[in-house]
Amino acid sequence: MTLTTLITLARPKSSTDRRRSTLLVAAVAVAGVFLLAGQRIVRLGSPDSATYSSYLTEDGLRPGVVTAAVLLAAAACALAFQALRLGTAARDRRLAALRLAGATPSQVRLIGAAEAGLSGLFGGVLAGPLYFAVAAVVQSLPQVGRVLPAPAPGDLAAWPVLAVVLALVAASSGGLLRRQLSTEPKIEPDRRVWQGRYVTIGAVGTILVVLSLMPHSPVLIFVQAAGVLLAASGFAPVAVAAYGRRLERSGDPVRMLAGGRLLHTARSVGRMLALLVVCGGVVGAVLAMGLDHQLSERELTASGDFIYTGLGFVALLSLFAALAAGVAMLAGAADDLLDQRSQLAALNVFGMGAAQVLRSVRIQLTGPAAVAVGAGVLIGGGLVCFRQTRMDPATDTSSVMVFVVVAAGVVGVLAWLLAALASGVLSGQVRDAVDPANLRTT
Amino acid sequence: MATAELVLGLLSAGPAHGYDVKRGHDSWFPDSRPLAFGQVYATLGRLERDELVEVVDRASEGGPERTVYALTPKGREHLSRWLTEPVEPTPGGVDEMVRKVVATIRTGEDASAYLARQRATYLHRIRELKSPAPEDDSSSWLVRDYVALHLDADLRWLDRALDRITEQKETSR
Amino acid sequence: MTDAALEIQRVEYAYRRDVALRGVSLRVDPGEIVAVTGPSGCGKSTLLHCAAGILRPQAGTVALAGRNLAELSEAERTRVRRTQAGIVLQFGQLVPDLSLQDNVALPLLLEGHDAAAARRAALGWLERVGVAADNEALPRELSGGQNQRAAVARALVTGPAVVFADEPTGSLDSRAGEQMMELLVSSAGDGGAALVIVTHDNLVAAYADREVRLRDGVVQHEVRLS
Repeated sequence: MTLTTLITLARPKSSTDRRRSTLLVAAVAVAGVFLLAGQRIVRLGSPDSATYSSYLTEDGLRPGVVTAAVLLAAAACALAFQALRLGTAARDRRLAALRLAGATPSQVRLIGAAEAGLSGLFGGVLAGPLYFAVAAVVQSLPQVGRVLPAPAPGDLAAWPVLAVVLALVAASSGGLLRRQLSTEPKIEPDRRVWQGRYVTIGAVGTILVVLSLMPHSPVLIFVQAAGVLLAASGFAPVAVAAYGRRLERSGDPVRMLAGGRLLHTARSVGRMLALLVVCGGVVGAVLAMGLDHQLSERELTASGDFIYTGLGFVALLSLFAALAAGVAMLAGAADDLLDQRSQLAALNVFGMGAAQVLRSVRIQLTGPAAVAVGAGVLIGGGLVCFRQTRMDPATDTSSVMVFVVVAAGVVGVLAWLLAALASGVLSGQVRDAVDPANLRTT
Repeated sequence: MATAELVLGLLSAGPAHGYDVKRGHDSWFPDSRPLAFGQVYATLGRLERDELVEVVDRASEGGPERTVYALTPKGREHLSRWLTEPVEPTPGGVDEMVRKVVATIRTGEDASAYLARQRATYLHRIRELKSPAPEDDSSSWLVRDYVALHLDADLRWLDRALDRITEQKETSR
Repeated sequence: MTDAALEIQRVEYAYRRDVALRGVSLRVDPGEIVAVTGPSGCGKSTLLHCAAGILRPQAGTVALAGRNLAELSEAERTRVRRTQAGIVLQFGQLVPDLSLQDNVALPLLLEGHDAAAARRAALGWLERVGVAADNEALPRELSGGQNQRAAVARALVTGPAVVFADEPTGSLDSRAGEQMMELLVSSAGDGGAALVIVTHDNLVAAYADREVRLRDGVVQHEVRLS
């Protein structure tokens, strides 16, 4: 296969393909910005403590900032990888046709790699000007906010190197996508069996959290966090399955379709929801800590703004992780649309059109995501309040709790809206799935 | 056995000797038994009697070998009718169907009307064979099934044959 | 309009540059069984899709149970299609996440019928086609033949004027195919629906009252079989 053929086959063909590659380019560009920032900070010699935030000037803290930048870049990459999974029926058919025409699995993988690699390259190239723009904006912030030094000439050298690296990483991810090689359906184990196991895991997690809240136990944040994660990982799938069953019994065809899908993908959806709970927990904890800090008159070792920047970083990291989880759920829904396209096309004949199928996807995503994130905020904020009360029984954390509850509601609603908007991204996939052309396949 | 109609078909391109008729038949059906001269002249004689064929040139001396026969308008009409008439779905019918289709190709006639009527006759018979009979016993369905499947096979051959005829016509244009 | 179950007049349809139908007309009377046959690529599946209101022809009219589809809004067309056209495809194509009973009830639920009544009607049709015992099973837990039977039930549950079958025996062996055809013909008759079967199999076509043969997007011939 010549290079021209490869590029012709790899170029995005439809508007849905283009949407996918746009998302990929954006995610890679963001990752590139964080990586460029990280390398700039690493190469920073001795920064002027009058110009920059203490995060940059204090030698002990700088590695932390670099780590944060790398983690944020990783989260953006996770988002990018999920965007890769947003395939379409048309793309599936094209690849199947290529396979039938005699393309070897490695050739098909090459095409997938080229598709992703092109977008990755474009994203990496875009990361350069974006980074310079962000750095310029950061320079205009007050000193506490200047967590990024001014760009240096070395950045111009780092930029193309980064672009190539990102393109290669994207290409290898694109080449490794499971879907383009095999569309065998996954076997599903008996629901009763796995539900028992997951409830046990959830119970263990709950016990851990309860233990960490006992009056005389050492408060190990990690134990608490692990407990929350385990509890969420265990209970979320079971809750999703129960919700799915309820939807299935509703008698409204759109809800029945959503319910059926949730019931049969409960475990993978539950995993993503557990991640959302943890992210919500982090945001809740950050909000509670921030407000508590604001309200209390405690003496502090460092300035308030300093703490807020740190909290801001953590919250931002959580946000990215949550977005990655969200896109993963979206990609899962897109995958399902592909797997069931022939049946959805048949259902279309009976009158369930693209709009209704899109609505059922929206139901699948919004409710669970909003509840998970909201519950997470509540849990995180609640745990922080509990801890503050334990450490200093005199403090009154009721106002913080109220704030946390309100925040949980607000964040939940925001998550709902975001999920609803995101499911709109799948409108192309939905239209593709219900297309009568799919009636001719199994 | 439709030999008479085949002879009419062989004469449709133009007048010919009896010898040409025999040669034509043998080239149309190279895997069948060659047509005997005696049968050719006997058939020609019958056709002449029925006014489907006429003599256009009688050699001054010599016997029937030097006579030239030609189709009459009545004979041409009889041929046309035969080409479009469907064969009844009886066990021996397939032979006649094959001859009819060969004759259709060779004479350049349009086979679509014939195809329609042949399909109708055979499908109707298949339908009859598949509906359960009142005195259905342990083995009569076996025979009916056999006949139905073979009628299906004949129809499938017919489809392919006529498809190729159309293809040939289209490519030769 | 007319009292025909289905009336198609001079329908033309082209997929981008490939012209599938060049002016096909067809009339199906209530309760009639029509086989649409022809070589692959002749346009028979396209004709079925146009007749069932799945595709909009570029020219010509399609009238289902007397309603001219072109004159209707998208929502009304969907409604007419749902109540007057049932479809059975080669592989059943039931929704994998729902039980057989839920699958069969879906067209009624989409019509807005009460859930309990819809499920009852669905169960009734599942009994008629012989898979009532598996009503709570998922499609993937059953054989292709059982799935196809449920698909027939789904096609008939709204009491349509026409049932369209596109190669209904294509994925079944000859004996199962025979049983499927007998079921299709008898249950369409029970439901008072006409049957339009697209097939390349003569043994399937033999079940029809009439054969309409297509070639290259036009009607090659139409013959009575009964």
